[in-house]
Amino acid sequence: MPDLDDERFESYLKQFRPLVLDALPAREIRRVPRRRSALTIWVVGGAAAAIVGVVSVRTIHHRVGTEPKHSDSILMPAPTPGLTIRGANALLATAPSYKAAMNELAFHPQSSSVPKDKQSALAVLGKEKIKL
Amino acid sequence: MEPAQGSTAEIESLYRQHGAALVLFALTITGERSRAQDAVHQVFLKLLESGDLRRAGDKKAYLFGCVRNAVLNERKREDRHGPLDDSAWFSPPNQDYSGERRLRRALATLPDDQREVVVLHVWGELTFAQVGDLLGVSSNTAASRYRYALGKLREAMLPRENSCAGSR
Repeated sequence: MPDLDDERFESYLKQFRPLVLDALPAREIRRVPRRRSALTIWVVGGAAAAIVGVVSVRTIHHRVGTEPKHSDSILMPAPTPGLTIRGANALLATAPSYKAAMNELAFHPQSSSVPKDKQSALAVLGKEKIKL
Repeated sequence: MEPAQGSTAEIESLYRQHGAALVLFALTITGERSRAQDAVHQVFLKLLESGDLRRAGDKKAYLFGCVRNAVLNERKREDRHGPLDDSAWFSPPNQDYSGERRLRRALATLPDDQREVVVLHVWGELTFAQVGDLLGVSSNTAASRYRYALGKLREAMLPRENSCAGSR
């Protein structure tokens, strides 16, 4: 490189070209605006939830359908310690009417198992007159 | 808000036209190519989203200003000064890779204000008036910084060049 004045040195520097850079990753982002992608996520999520729901209902129906059917009387699930979703579903599937199913699902008070010579604390408290 | 189609095309064209110089400018501040490229991409993505470029008078100078702000803000956030990574900054003439390395190191040794002026003027092809506006100094100050910087660069690069010429 000969003796360089400022201009020639500048031309020499300009021969070093900045490296070519990667393509702008905006093309895809621009074509799918944020609002639209959020909407897509909601739609896909909703569709997935609906499919799962339909599949579960159909599975339950299929299971209930394969069980042996009794006469016209309401088919009660085997006595269980409490009401479960499965039990409720089975009842809804087999009851003659929605109302009948709801009646069966309603809370039934258990009969008292207090021996005759003893008293129920609840009964005693219920009779007491409490002054406030 | 989506930018108008014309504005998008213009922004993409500006990226193709000045992107390499903008990354080089960011690179001389950050010292890391990936960070520099990220900063430039960030600026262009924001512009594409907002279509804000129509308000800018001098678009090229505006872009350099945006990139400078993006890089300096990121540096402030991370409270670190960019280390000089060893990746190339330039495509050298005649495959002069040692010259490229010398130029890179010489640029790195310049004070920030001088280095900015050199990069903006030589590779960004901004006038001293534009550089002055961008850096908030007068065009005379920008020109003066440039002359100092050029002298230092020449000193850093010439001895090796002379010795190479002598060995031929």
